Amino acid sequence: MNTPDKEWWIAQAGEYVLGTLDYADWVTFNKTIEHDREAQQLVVEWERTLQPLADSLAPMEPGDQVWDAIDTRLFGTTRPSSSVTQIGAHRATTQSLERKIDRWRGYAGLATAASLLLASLAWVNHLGVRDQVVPEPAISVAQFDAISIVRDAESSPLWVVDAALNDGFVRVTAIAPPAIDNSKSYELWIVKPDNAGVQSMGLIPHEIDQSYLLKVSAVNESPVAFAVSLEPAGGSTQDVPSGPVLYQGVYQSLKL
Amino acid sequence: MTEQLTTADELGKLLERCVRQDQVAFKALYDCTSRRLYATLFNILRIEAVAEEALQETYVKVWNKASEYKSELGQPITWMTSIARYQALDMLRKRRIREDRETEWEAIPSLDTMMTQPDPSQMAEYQDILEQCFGRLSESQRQCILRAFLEGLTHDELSESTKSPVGTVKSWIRRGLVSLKECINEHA
Repeated sequence: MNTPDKEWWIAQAGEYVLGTLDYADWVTFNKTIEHDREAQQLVVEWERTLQPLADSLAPMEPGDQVWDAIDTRLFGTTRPSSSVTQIGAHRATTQSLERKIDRWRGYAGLATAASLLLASLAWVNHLGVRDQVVPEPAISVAQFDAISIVRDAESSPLWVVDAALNDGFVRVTAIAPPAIDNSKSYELWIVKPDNAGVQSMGLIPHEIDQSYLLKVSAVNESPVAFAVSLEPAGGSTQDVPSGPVLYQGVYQSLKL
Repeated sequence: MTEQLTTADELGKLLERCVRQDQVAFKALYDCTSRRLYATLFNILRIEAVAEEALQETYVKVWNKASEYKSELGQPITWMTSIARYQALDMLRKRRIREDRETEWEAIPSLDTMMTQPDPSQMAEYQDILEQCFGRLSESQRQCILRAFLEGLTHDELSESTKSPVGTVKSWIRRGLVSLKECINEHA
């Protein structure tokens, strides 16, 4: 730990722990503590110094689904309700959702325009899909009344889901799904409200810009979320995901 | 085993068992600590769904990095809290969810109010020292440091909150940290 002076290092380590360093400074300091034991020690001291502040917060109960999700990710445990996918989706605050819906409505406009373009795409003859992939003209874009953007843990969009569940249609467009080999498939699920379980929507595209229009069993009650699991090729052989549930997206109604 | 009754030693033993891939111990560790870590995460991220996602990521890291824990890194809960906080801060940076946070610029609770929760990590004496040292800081320094730690606010957000230039906020934080450190060392 060389120049600048000791106070600078104390403040820098403190700000690293607080999280107030600018990104570039944070990256630099993060690199520093990898090999500088004195700097690392300062960070540890700050973490210890400020820990009572964290201890002073009243404990809060996370949803049961958090443990379920951890259990699934680390140990491959699956549960019939697949509540793992519901992480907080239905618990987001109304205010937050209202703001998001405004943004989503804006996005929906783009999605509709994109849908018009997508209508010219050849429909995908997707073998082995439980639910039927149908030609685009089977549904007008005007009938889609809900949208969901399925995201990864970094919040990057992976798929856009247009839904008309009352009519039994779902269109899934791959934006940037992680690559998988032929022995795997991505499967889309709806997560029903009130822990009522999940329902498969079928296999979804895994190549960028590919779009599937799926005919599914009509769903009368709005789900809380869509979720995507990684399955053996052809999809889960059960009524619930057999592989890990990796991604999710909040179901957003576009009905006024 | 409840959170309140779990000592640092017990948590340390659970972590050791996690290193040996003991899933039962990991679940016990989760049961003992998740409410505290979730409070820390929620305070920073402000959206339940996001905080729960961060909690999930935190415990995946705890399981995967359990072998890296050493007592020199502080008590187990401190190590885990740091993993949680850095996860939350990282998500804030990457996901730019600040715009989604329902941040209300309400006055920070007084230190007395904040420090009245039970302290399961047996740091009451140290907590007194910390409270005393925070008491020596100016109101601006104290607010900025507390809000940065507890709410993950950036210089810009603190600047907006306090209606003060960013440079002033940076100065408050850095000088406040140095003063805090000096005060704590005096009591050491």
